This record gives sequence, structure tokens and C-alpha cells, in this order.
Amino acid sequence: MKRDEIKALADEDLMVLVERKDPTAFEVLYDRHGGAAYSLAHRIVGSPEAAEDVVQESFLSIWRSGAHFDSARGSVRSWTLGVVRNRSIDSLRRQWGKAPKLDFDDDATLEAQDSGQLTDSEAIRRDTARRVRGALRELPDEQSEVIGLAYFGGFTHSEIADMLRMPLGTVKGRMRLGLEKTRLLLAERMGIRDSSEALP
Amino acid sequence: MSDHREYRDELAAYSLGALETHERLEVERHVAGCEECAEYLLWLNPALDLLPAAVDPVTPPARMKRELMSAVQGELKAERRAVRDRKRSERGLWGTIWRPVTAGVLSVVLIAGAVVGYALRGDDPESIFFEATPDSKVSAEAEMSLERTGDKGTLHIMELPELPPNQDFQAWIIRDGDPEPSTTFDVRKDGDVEIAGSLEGAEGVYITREPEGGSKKPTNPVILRAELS
Repeated sequence: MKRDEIKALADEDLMVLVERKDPTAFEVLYDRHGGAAYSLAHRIVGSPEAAEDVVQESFLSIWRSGAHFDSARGSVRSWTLGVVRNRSIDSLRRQWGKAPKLDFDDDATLEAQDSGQLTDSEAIRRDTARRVRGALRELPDEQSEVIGLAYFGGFTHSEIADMLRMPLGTVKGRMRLGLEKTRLLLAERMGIRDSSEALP
Repeated sequence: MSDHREYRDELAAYSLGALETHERLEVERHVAGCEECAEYLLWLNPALDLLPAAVDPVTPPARMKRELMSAVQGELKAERRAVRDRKRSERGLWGTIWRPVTAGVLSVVLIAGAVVGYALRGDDPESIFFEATPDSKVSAEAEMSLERTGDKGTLHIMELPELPPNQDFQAWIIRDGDPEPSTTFDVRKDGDVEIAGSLEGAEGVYITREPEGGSKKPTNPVILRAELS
């Protein structure tokens, strides 16, 4: 199969080729998700060098164990970013034992950057980031705080409870309320219609 | 209200990766047998999928992709070498030790052994490997070995040069000094290719780049040549 044909494949079909150790399919997979993966790793580990290490390790693990992808449990992108997130948290815990705070006020920084240099896909990603942050800003602070500490900081609920000096049940309750509200807001703002918008 | 509603705090924490290992395993066991909780987890998924999109896009350095692909190619190369070496080793062991021993035992024990031995030989012809030489002007990196089994051949290829658009690689069977067109293929860098046509009486197998679909005669320089002598 030629590169142009491989580039036209859906992510799930690419993974079949990656599982068969097709380096071109793997390269296309990286081209599609490497940018988001690096951005996420950079956000979590906080340095370009550590983010590079994390993304390289993550993609190499995907190359070595592509068969572990299960399409029934989500998209290739989610799975890939899940691998990157987990490795980022591992790296963070190994090196620093700290978590970055979740900050949804980055729009000013984005606006200051030269948009003339952006490719179409980067522009779309920035637009998506703005919209997602817009939705997340609507969460009560106490809910976005625990979500950020868990997802981007890699803290467990008991660590967060210690840190914020609050009962464990309160932390978990805030996580649930925050996620449910995020889910509903995103359905409304991002046009997610692939599953019921109402709570099951 | 369902009995499982109270379990949703655990499921949300699980989704965020915020549970301790033993708690995570407990949730996974529960969800495996609980349709309602599995449905709730799936419902949360879009929110979790979009959390990474909340971070500032940062462009990765180009070097990162080069290093990653170099590592991947290195692993692929090592794996293929290992497979090739193992095959050679297995064939060599079979050819030099086990097959004569087996044939000897059969011939002593059974009068029909010779017939059986002949049948075995016919069904399992020995594979012979021929290393190919790359044309250094076209590609110093390319590597190829030709595995010949009877009159059939398989090419094991590594590090082929970039294939321009609208071109294929094509194998040529050299017989009486003339190239006969064989398989066209578009394997990129690495792969195994079955050769179409018999190698009976062949002197070698060459590889060229040809227009898509192949040519009747070579139109480009030879990239790799395996001599069957």
C-alpha cells in the first residue's frame, strides 16, 4: 500500500497496519496525533525536553504494542493521548513529585502568538482549545480544581483530599459533578451527538 | 434512583485516573459485570476525550519525529535480521543433522523408508539464502536477501530508498543473461516479497524502480542484485 493510500485511511485502519509493523502507517499516526500528544505532555511535565522523552516513549510503546488498542473502548486519538497522559504522570512523579495547576486562562497567550505562522490544523486545534477552555471555565472553581489536579497533575483522590484538606467523599463528588457538567456543556457547545446528552 | 448511582463518584474518579491501584481494579471488576455503570463510563468519555484539547497547542520539534522514526526503523531492522537468522539457523540444523539422521533411521527400519524419505524431501525442499548487493550510486543503505526454496523465491528487503510517486519496485529474474519481468511491489523500506515465476535455471534476481504496474524491460538502473551462484 502506498503512502497516499495509507494517509487516506481512518485511524482504526491505520492501527491494523501498525499492529503489522508497517512503519509508514506508524508515521502517519504520529503525523496525526503527535502534535496533540506533545502539547499534552508539555502541559503536564512542564518542559520541552521531558515532553519529548514522554512522547517518544509513548509512541514507541504504541509501536511495540499496537495490538492493545481496543476500538470498543474509544477512539485511537483518545487511546493515544491516554498513553501519553499516563506516561507524563509517571514522568512527573519520578522527577518532581509535583503537579502543575490547571489554568484555563491561556487565551491571552495564544492571541499574542503569531497566527500568520499557523497551519490550518494548528488553527483548528487552537480554536478547539479555546472552546474547550470556555466550557471548562464555566465549572465552579472547586470542581475544575479537582479535575485539573487529577487529570493534569496525576494526583489520586486521597492525595487531593490531603492537599485541599477536605473529606475524600467531597473530592470524588466534585470530580463527578465537574465531569458531568463538562460532558453536558461540551455536548451543547461542541455538537457532540454521538451518545445521549442526558445522564444515563 | 438506581442502586448504582452512588457508585458514580468512584466511576468519575476512575475516569480521571485518580484511584489507587486496588480501587481501580475493583471498579474494573464491577464495570465488567454491570451494564449500567459501563454505560455511564461511556457517557463520560467525550468529556475526558476533550480534556487534552484544553491545553495550548505546542508544535513538537521536527527532530523528535526523525529520532522516533529512526528508532522504529532500527527495531524493525533488528527484528527482521533476527527472523532471517533464525530461519537460516533452523534450515541449517535441519539440513545438516536431523534430516540425514531421520532418513537413515527410516531406511534401516523400513524398507519403504526410501520412499518416505523421498516424499519428505519433495515436500520440504531446503531453503538457500543469497545476499544481494546494493548499487551504491542509488542506495548504499538497501539490504536484501533472496530465500530460494526449490524454484520459488522470497525477497527479504530492508531500507529500500524512497519510491517516487507513480513508481513501483520490480523484481527481474535473470536467465541466460536477460531480465524477465517478475513481481512489482511497493513495499516501503522493509518487507517480504514473493517472486512471481520460477527460479529454475535463473542466474540472479535484480530489483529496479519502474513506472507503476511494472515494465517489460528494465527502464532504470538496478538497485539491488542477488546472484544465484
